[in-house]
Amino acid sequence: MERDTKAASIENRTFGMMSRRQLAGLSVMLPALAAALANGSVAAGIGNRTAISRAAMAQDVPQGGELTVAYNNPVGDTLNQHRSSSTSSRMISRHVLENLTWVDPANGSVNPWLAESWEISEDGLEYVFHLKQGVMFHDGTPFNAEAVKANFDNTMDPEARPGFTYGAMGASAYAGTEVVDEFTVKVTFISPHAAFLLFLSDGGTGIDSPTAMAEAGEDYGRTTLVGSGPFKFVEWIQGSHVTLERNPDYTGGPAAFGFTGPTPLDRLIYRDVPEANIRLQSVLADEAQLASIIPPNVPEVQGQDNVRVIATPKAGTTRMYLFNMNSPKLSDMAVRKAINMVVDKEAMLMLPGWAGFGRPGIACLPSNMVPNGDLSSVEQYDIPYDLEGARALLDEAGWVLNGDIREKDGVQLIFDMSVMQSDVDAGVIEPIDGFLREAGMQLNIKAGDINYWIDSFSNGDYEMTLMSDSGYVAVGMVQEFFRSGEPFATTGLANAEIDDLIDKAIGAPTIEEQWEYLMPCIGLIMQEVVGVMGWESDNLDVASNKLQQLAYNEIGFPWFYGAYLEQ
Amino acid sequence: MVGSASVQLADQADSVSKKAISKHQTQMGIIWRQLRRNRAAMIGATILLIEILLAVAAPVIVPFDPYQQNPRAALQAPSVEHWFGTDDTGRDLFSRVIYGARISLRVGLISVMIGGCIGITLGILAGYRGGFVDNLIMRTMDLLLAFPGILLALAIIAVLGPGLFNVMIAVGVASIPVYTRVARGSTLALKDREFVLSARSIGAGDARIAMRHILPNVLPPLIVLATLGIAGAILTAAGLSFIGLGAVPPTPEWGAILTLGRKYIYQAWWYTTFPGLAIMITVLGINMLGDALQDALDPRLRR
Amino acid sequence: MRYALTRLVLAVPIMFGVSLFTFLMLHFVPGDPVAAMFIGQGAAVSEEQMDKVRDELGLNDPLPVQYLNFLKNAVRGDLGNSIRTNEPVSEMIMRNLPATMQLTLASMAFALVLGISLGMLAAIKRGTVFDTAAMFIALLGVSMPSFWLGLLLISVFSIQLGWFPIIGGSGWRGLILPAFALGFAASAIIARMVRASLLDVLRDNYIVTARAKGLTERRVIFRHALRNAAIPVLTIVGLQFGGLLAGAVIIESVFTRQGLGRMLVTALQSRDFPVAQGGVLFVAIVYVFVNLIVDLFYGVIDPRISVD
Repeated sequence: MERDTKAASIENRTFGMMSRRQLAGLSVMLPALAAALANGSVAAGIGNRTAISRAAMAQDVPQGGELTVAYNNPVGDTLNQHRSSSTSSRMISRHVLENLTWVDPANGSVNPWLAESWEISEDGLEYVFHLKQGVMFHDGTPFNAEAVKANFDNTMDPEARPGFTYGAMGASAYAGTEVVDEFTVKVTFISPHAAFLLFLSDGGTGIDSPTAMAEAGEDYGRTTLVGSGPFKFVEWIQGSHVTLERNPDYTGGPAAFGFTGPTPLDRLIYRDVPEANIRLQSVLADEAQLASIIPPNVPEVQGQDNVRVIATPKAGTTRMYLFNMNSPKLSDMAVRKAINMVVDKEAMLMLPGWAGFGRPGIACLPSNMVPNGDLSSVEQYDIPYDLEGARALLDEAGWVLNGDIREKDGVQLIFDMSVMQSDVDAGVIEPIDGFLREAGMQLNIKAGDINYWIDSFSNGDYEMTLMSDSGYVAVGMVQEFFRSGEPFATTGLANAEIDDLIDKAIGAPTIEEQWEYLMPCIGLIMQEVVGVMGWESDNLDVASNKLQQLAYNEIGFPWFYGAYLEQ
Repeated sequence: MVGSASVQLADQADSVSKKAISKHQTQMGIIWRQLRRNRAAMIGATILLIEILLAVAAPVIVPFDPYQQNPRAALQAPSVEHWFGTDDTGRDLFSRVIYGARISLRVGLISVMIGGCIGITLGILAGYRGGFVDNLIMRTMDLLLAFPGILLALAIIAVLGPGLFNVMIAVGVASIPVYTRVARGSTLALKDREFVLSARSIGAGDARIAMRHILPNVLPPLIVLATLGIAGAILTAAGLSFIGLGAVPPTPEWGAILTLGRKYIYQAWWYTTFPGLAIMITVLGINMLGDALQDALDPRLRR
Repeated sequence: MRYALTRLVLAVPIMFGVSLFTFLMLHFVPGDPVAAMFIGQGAAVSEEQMDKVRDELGLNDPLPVQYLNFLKNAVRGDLGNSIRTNEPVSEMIMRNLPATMQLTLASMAFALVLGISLGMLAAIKRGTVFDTAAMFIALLGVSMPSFWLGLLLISVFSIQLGWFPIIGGSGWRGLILPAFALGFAASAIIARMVRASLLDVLRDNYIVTARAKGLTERRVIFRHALRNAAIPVLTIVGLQFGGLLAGAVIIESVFTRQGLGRMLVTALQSRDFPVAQGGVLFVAIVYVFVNLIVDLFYGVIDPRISVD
């Protein structure tokens, strides 16, 4: 309890009242903290504050109250996790469903939840789970091995649309699930799926009531959602809100989490609020108690003593300004290096688009995603800021100034930057144009909605773009962008050695082994200078100080089990 | 022989229509006098004139490069150095808003030219030809009119992709039906008039009749429409920029500046206020002028 | 009556045209809804996995087949299901319609009250400072970007003064600011129209007669002039109704309201074609019918218009 209040006041002091420069100093501290907390076996997004406050979770807290959370399009597509492709949808279903395992975001350890224990075969192809007994879904259906099988079968149904969970279950590596006895279930794979236990803790693999799924059919996840978790689904009004209410009969809760039994809050409401600024204002006016915000809004929180900003290192890739190396200009290594040399990442992070949050990017994965937060083996390939050096390098390579712009053989160093309008609005695109202009280069920013951007990216119709993905299984994200032949690997990188290392990492039976291939692979990718490794970003939430005992899940979204509102 | 006779006749027909035009020119004189007496018109015209001057002279006037970022001067309030303050990358907003006049005026003019040229051509064609052509054109217009303005522009941009030029096309295309309807109506009224009939009787080509005899006479109401259309186009383009479909930074288009500034609306009021005012004043000036033109052209409203 | 029927019959081919036009246009919208669904989930996706989804959604069918399927179902009132949420599009429309109708009607009511008052004031006090002031307000209305007005209203009344809810309040309190932001421009247009038609009508013979008969100016205005000024105003109301529906696209986003406008923008952005298609079609149909009704009303209001 004492440590809890201390943690809260740290949050207050550091984020509520510090100047922008001080903020930056603090966030530079974060990777070190994260590294200290990270367990070598897992690369999870680390909510360091979460760890501190959770350690002192109290059961005896004020009960009741309604918590409103403001997010942009919180559901995305559907709450049916067997079909959903939305990340934020999983943060909602996590409250209604329970999982077989629970990954502690503080240290990445895998802990029992609905599965009390498990055995894994030597070759990593067979998982046997021993299930908890006496658990009931909200509709009265008992939880057992049949229910688990029904869920996994539904996810992997070859006739149905695959969603995120299809990949989480191993996609084509998955063989099948069989019921051994009422409370024992066996999952088999064709090839190793090293991250399986991690994925089983994800909101996407939560176990739904098989009766409810069968009854609702196509409407499941829209009109109803039935699990065994601490909250029950009430309604989802698209474009407006999702309402959950407390499950008074809840007895579960992962033992390792430190909180058990019914959750204190009566109701939990996710409001759909597209404007970041309005979300922030709604918390300041106490219409909501927690909202996701963007760095440009942070200064507005300064001097407000009833709210705090919570920064959680984002689980996912570094936010990278990727190059399309098929472009004649960018096929020139000198140009790629020079662009890296003109971008002053330290100065960039002080701009309003960052407000001091995040850390300069070093590699395609941020430090919070690698074992022990240790990027030292690839740090040598990071290209430091050196404006004069960039000018000299370009001169040497024959790109000479003609007026304001450098050119060679009539080709000007103006790059088409295809991005999402929301990134332009967030203020993280234009500064790159500013940096480039210092050395006689420019951006031609082409911004559109998410589809315009994905379309130009997947068709290779860009010269530069701002790319990132969220997730916590490193190998998948490296494969996605850098394994040649993948639909989204369009940077023009074609290096057999890199491909080979990625394939080996995918085939490794454990995560430790994966990293033996992955780290050298990242080194090779960095040597190719595939982009400017912009910054390691933080998810930012603003929370009312009335909201206490707030936890974060492993992908950096708030988890309100055990949270309460002070009166 | 036959040739020279028909040329002679054609000249006669032309002189008849020139009479119509010269009548129309004296009408222009009346309109001009009307406008000069109208205070609102003069205010509107002055606003526009100043703006055009600012737009043309922008490179000479502005104190800073509108594209030059200066991270150390981000989000500064208006001061002697930065009259309108600075934006989140430290660019001088006064310089950007002045440069924005070039862009917004161009957006307005080009959109109207696209919509007007296509719309008027189709309208005259429909009115003059009648029959199947008329039906085809007007039913297509009905179709376009079935989509409320911005929705059509929204869909066109979804097809063409975002960007300033595509916005001009979208806004222009969405405005075609209005011009077509008005042009067709006036053409119908004109095509049985004496000077048109005589031009036709002596074998003047359709194109010649349309260009020399009909167009000059259907133009006045369309000029009013176009003037007001410029104002509408500037507003729609800004609205499209606002939902992320218009001009792309670092282009200093007013709608785009507003969009970038809206996340700072509580920290940096100047960021949204000045481009917002710029849009409003421009549109106001154009509307005042357009209204006065309309009054002047509508004889019933003359005092 | 025959006129009404003819107009109704004529609306049918327009509806077909609208459906084909919408379908084709959306088809040419670049962007793959399936790719958009799959990026950003933190893992590699196979091309087969994406293709399976395209198959399931019928996106791999030839274009004419897709259109005919759409049309066949649309006639039965089935506009298909959302790609993202699987919700029937017709249900989505019905769910979002009330909020948008509330906003549109409230804005229209506001626009009419303000517009007619300003217009009458200006016409009656023609040439005075009232006329100038009323017309200047009207000019401001058409010159102000509605989203800017919306932002200013939220900033002043919701955040500084705290009079109205910030995030999409329900009930009438949540309706006032968006209705104002959306209706202001329409009120300006109505004001100008009312003024012009009043001035027009006041010169007409029968008004002159009415005056000659010794009726008071007030009676002249309310009994006779206003009734006749109603026709052009009604036309504008019909036109503005569509404008308001379209304006809702932007205003609903500014004020975080759910509704058809936001549904459409979101659908276009996520390339949720069935929703975009059904939504655009629906709005177009409503728009055509509102104008049809306005046309038919002319006859009722002004007996001078022959309904042959």
